[in-house]
Amino acid sequence: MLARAAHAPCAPGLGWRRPSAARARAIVARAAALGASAPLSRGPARPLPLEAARRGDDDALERVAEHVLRVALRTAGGVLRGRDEAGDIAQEVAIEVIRDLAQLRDLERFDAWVHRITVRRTLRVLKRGRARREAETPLDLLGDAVPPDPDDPFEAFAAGAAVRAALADLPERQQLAVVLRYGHDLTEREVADALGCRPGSAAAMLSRARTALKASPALEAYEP
Amino acid sequence: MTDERLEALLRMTLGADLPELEPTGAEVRAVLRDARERPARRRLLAPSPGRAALAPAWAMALVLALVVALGTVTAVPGARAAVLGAIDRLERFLGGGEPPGVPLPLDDPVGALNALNFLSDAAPGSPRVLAQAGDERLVAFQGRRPGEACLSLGRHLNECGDAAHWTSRLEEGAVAPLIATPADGGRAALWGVAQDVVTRVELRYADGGTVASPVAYDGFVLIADPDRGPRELVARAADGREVARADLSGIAFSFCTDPEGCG
Repeated sequence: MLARAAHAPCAPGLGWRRPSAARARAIVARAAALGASAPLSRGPARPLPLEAARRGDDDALERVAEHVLRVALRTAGGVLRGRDEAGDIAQEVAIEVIRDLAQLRDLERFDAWVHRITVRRTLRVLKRGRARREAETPLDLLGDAVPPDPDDPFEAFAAGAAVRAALADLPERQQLAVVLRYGHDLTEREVADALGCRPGSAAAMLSRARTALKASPALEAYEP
Repeated sequence: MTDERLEALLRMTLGADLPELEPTGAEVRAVLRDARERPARRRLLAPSPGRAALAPAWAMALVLALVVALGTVTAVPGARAAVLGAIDRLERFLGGGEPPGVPLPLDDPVGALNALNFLSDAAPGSPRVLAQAGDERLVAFQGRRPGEACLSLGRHLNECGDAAHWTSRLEEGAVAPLIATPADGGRAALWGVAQDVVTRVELRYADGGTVASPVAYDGFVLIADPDRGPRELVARAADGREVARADLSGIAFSFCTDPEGCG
């Protein structure tokens, strides 16, 4: 398994490896340095004050903007190359949502609306090829060749990069379907809603994506 | 790798609360600032679930005003019927009945463009094609709310309203240009509805040229060249006589299609 982890190719000439502890600490430091200010704390889940935001309440608008940014960042960040590109999309989505909130007829479908806008904008960027997400192993995630440790708090970083590398080989809509299904825990019907297709099409899309991911060399290291 | 292990891996990675995917306070402030500062341009957004009719701002304001005035309109059914009566085949549709036109072929790619636009809003089986030009289709359908009649303008936007809304939109003449949207090749699609006496509409350019379209089911979509300065719309009856004329100066034929904005 060690050998497989060390040599499993996810891109020509690159091995797929879990970061060492030192490298993992560097990753955390880099992640902390990505934003000019510290990440916002998530806090307890509360209903979004959408009605108040519609009336222009500043606090409500801030909460809505933060929520939309978080949703869009998770989606775009799952398939795009870097935080900056995902952040650009997330901000555009949030601006669009804030400006058009008054036109949303069914507030119960707010999240579905946000997902759909995010999908549209992310697909546009993906298809333009301006912000292809990682097709190669990021160099700063390379480290000592050791097997994945599920108890390692830094494991998500390395595994996340491996998953993104595997996702890179899928068609764009399949990538987004996977992120919506497993990143946001949406149902297949909700995924279909966000992608603008029938539930059966979304289910088939996800099935094809899973089949491809299971065969992806980038994820060989994560086999039992 | 088993499905279960793959799904666990995907949930762990894509659903992880990574600090780098948390929004920063600076980002939140930037969004709020930009949302306030950027003027509300006429945006041609893709369909979104639960979204109200994506009409231009002035039309939305008109809808709101008409909602307030609805009591007055319904209190004088004679006057309302007179106006609605003038639009004949659309009357039943605008009053909550089935739309005219031919059933929308949902399974073909062109129909799907419209379907994407109103999938969540249309009453099952109600969509009907009123007019088409190339890949652009004007589709009428019943909205989810009682008495709500909607027009889907190709892949771009829907306009929905009750009888009062449509009465106001159509009461100025036998032909009513609604809006222009981008079409293929840098051209523009002019969308509109007309009374059933109208069988043909002609768009006249500032340079004197014209482009025409038949009107079969009280609606039309005309593909025009925005660079030639569309000036007015002439509606003609079957015998060729002019029955109405509409000024197009209030219709925008230039569009911002850059997702990053046009400054």
